Amino acid sequence: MAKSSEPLWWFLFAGGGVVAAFLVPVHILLTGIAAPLGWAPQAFDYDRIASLTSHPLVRLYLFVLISAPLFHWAHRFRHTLFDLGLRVGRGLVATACYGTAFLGSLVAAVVLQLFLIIPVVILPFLYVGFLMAIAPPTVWRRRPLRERIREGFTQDRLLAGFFLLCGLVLLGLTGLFAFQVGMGLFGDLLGLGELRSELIQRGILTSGQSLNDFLPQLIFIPGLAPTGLLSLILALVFLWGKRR
Amino acid sequence: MRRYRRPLGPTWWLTQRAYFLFMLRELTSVFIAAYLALLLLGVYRLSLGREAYEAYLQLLATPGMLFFHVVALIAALFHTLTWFDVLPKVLVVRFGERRLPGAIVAGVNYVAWVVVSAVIAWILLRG
Repeated sequence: MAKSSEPLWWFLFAGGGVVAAFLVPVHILLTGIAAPLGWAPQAFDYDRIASLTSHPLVRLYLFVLISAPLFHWAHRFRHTLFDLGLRVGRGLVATACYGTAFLGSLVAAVVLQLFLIIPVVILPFLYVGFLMAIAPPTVWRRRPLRERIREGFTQDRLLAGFFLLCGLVLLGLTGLFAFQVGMGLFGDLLGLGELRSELIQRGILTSGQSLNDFLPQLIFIPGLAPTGLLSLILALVFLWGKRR
Repeated sequence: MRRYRRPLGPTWWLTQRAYFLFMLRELTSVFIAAYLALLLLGVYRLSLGREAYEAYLQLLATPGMLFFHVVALIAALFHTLTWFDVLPKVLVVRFGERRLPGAIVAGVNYVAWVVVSAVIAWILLRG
């Protein structure tokens, strides 16, 4: 059994290292050197690249390419800071490093419009990391969960703050999308037609009225709302347990 | 009980070649991450439309960016070489009593690396 959350970070570090070793050099050569020097101008034409990246598998590939090495970076950077003699703020540094990697992955998923990845892949990893950080599995086994909560968790509050932020951001996003979908589908029915056309004019709302136009948001909401709520609950339990 | 910890200055990694190479290897991840952030920016600009994408390509063609990418390429290659160098020590393949030589484990990975890189280059450049 694991004695700390290190196995999870090491797993992500190794996976990211493999991705970086196999895929990154050729990508730097192609997009960073071949493209700007004009070695293959027709290959980097806008229409061609746009059609290439419109395929979901290509976007999934790009997500893995970008996200995995970020965790590799986080792990190495964290340990390098300690190797260089940093003796304070271990929790802060670890949270900042892995938090940055999670944030980067989140941004990548949104930019690549792979919204389903957020509840299905990113958040489970986030929860596992969080739970292992506040109480490694060996500790859970030795003392029952109820007892642990009553005593308060021993680790620092930063992770709780991070989770609180995650929960608030996710719930905010859910609200935003729910508002978009609601306005698009029921705006006229609720007598908010004017507000709706105003939003379309400003480009906040798409003009489509069919359900298909809101499909990404409709998929997104059921994934986001529970995870956002769970984040908040975990953070509150954590903070409350600490204070006692 | 507090154990004695030998004090180390922040420049311990400059004292030996092996330590220095170790620190360089750790630092490659910074360049790789920076490159991926740029790539993500490119994907974002691509989603904004033709003008934004072409402005991004022009940004990449500036001397500073080219220099960064050359450095990042060297860093990434260094990471790849060191990664494949370590791999046979981590990944021990056994056939019964006998252990597959590390050179073969590393060699297979090098071949796979070249093939994967070629496939990616072919997909991106064939147009």
